Amino acid sequence: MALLDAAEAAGARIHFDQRLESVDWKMSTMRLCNEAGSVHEHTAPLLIGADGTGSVLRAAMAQVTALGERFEPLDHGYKELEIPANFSFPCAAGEGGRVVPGAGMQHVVVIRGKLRGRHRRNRTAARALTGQAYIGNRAAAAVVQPVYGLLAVCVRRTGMGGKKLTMCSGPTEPGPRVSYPAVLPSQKRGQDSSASRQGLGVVPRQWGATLSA
Amino acid sequence: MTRRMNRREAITIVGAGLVGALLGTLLAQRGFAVTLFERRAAALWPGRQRSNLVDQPRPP
Repeated sequence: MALLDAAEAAGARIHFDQRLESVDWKMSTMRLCNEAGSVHEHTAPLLIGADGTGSVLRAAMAQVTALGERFEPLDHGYKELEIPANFSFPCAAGEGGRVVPGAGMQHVVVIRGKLRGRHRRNRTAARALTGQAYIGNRAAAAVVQPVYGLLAVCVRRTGMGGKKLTMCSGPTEPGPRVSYPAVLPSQKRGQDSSASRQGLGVVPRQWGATLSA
Repeated sequence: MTRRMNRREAITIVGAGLVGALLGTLLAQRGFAVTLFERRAAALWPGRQRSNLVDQPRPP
């Protein structure tokens, strides 16, 4: 089953032909435009950007705050993009957002509010990011914590045009402790094994199993 | 297998590529109301067969 079918089966609604034009961070609204040129607004208290290397969402974020991103094209057609973990972001409620580096090469999540120490300082994990998430003012811990689990999504391109997707399912229940793999999954940190069994059908039982496609 | 939790917080994801689709799946399975916006038209994914946006399983 393709991933999008899985998403629809899980209840997600997918709208095609909707290009992100701009984001109004104060109002938590986004403007979307289709091919025919008609525009509509969508209120998104919690917005996750997974729109790739030339992320429109990242550009929209950069318009309101300095992300301090560092861009480095590589010889073989790829590039490295690094966004430092600490910057403040004007959220609707006025609190600063934070970038939490994902465990993967292409993934970063901005989570408003405080996060536990070492994630923010992990420079290795902060490299080569193509996705961001912005969690707005209605994001409670119940929202944030599952996202921690999702942070451990690591997409790496392998040779010959293939992709290797490493997924680590994190804790799904809100709890006092968030275990989150900082760079590569380790058994030691992945203590909530019952939670790791949940999630996508292909999500491994343990941190760090690999799905090659 | 997945226990759906009764959370209806709305989450919007821009981009239904590999990361977006995976995030959407996982969050929807966890009970969030997920909306995905994808720039490409659905017609580019003929007959609901997906393009190379998302990896297709290869036949053995």
